[in-house]
Amino acid sequence: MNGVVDRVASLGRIGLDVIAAIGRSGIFLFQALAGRSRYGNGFSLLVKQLYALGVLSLAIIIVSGIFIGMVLALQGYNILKDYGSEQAVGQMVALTLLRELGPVVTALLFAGRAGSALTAEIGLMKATEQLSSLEMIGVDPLKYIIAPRLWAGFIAMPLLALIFCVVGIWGGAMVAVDWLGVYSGSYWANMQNSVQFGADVLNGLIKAVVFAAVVTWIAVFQGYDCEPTSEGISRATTRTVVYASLAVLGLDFILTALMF
Amino acid sequence: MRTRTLELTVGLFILAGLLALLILALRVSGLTLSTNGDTYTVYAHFDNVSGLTSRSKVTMAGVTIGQVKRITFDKNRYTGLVEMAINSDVDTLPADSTASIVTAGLLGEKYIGISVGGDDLVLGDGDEIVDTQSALVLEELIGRFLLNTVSKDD
Amino acid sequence: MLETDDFIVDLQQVTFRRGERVIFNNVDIRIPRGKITGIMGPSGCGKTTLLRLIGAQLRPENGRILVNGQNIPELGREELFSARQHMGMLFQSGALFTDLNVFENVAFPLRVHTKLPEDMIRDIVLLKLQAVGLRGAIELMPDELSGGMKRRVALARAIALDPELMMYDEPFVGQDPISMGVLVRLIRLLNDALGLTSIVVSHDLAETASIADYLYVVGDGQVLGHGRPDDLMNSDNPRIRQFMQGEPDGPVPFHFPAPDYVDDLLQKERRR
Repeated sequence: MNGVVDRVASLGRIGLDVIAAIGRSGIFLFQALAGRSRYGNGFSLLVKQLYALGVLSLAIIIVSGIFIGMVLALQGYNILKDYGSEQAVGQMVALTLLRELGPVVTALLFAGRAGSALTAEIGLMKATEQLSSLEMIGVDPLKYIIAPRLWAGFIAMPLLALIFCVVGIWGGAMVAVDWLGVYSGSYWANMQNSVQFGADVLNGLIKAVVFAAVVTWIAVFQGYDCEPTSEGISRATTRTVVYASLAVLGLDFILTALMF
Repeated sequence: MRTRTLELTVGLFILAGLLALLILALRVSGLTLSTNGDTYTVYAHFDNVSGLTSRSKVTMAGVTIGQVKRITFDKNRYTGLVEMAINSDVDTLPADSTASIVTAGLLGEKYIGISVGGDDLVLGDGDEIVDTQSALVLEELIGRFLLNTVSKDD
Repeated sequence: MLETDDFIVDLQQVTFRRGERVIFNNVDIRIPRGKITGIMGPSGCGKTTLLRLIGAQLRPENGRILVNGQNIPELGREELFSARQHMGMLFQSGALFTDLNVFENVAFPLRVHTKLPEDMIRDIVLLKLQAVGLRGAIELMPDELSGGMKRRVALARAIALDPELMMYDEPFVGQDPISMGVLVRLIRLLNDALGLTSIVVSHDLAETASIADYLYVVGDGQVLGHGRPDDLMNSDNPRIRQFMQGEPDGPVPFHFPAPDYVDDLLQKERRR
């Protein structure tokens, strides 16, 4: 009997902890983004982070994009062939990438590549008292360290998703047109006829923006909120990847239900 | 010097992203920058518009001359009212032209094909194509075909 | 006891708790201006917490913390960050920014808080590095420095903006005798040359006693005693004496609180 009560109580405590963490992260986000950075070199800080989060993630995004586009074309071709409509493969590749795989896979890769690095970097700064020492120098680490990283994530990830889609569609064309022999005219024409800029491209972009915000937010907060020990950092890094992935997949369902 | 290269790479990255958006807009979704402005509107009533969507193309002799802007239901005539935007350089469509909804291939997308008439009057902005031919509905076709076979057997 | 009544920091009835544990219970500490004040006490008694309270990185549950007459816990975020510009803190680990070299680390506070031209910044940085004897290390990255050098660079960074109040968090921990001597000398030198007020938090008795003008001994969430180093050495308070003489057992027990030893052993037997 007592055991049951204990378990319920601990469940309640976990629930309260979770709600408190959400509240903390919300306040954290607000404090980081509210108001403008007073530090004159805000722009160069942003550029540095854009490089770290965007440019350095480019390689993995491009390679994955090409392969996913190629696989989509191959699978699509094999299925559509049975219905004699293999010229629709371009349309299938493009729609799949723009609506789903582009934003989702980019977000997952971004969480793994850039998100984990963000968490570890900020966690390490916390553990080595660099954040405290910024505070004591009279610099708000939320503005100086956190804000540029948040903005860089918000900007870089949607761009990466766009690049991912284009590269994927090109990879699909490579397989479908150059290898499987789908007529290139119908590959592109079918695509152009069925893909709508507003409904598909822009909605995909909106998804990417939402995912970017969530993934970056989680990564940065986990770093900032982590226990400042080597164990704490490694746990926070794992949490970033797990939470970010789950959040992306869950939100994807909600956004898809709303959009399409 | 190092910040300079940093800025350059980041600049290139952002440009690449924007270029990707441009490619998605123009090459993938076939968004043409000059859809508005130089078109005029023509209406047509169809008994059945199933399969036709806005942005479907409007062709004549196989050449695209415009696109469907809007499809609404005409509650007085119980028909579908299709609003088409025709490129304004195609300004010599005879008033008695026929508009029909045709299918690209057996299962392909629907579009409007216009066959030329013989009238001296030409269609202008806001005019209506009276002579229309509705979408081919596969089920009806099969039904009619079956009916024919059955009645032949009698 | 002190001839001055000009205090730069004044803690009045400060209570601070971490979870259930009371770190400070109604503590009053006053730091005289222009002097070096040592805060001493056994490990884990909250000496570092005290510095963080003064720097407002932590907020007390109760009490006022006046720095230059301003009640620090009540300041808004903006005021607080400007108040901190008058404080310097030397962290235990040094806390240099690992992605910046020595020069940029020292220049950092100047770059964020001033609009000085580049050659002026360079002059100031060189001056500060000269003061800590590391002008030659200007191009090195933090991971190329030894622990003692890191701490000296951090010291140069902490005094870059000429603070009024310098706080040292365990400056002598993990230093070899030579760099320890260097640090002791530097703290004294900077305090007198720049007219600073210094707070040295430490449990290294000899070094702290040798430079401090005034000492506070804290423990058990209380101020156990305060006074000049010589007076404290000869204190008749047993807790202070235990700490100052370094006796292993006394009012501060050798054993962490535990159930009775014999009972504990017997209980294990019974469970088996």
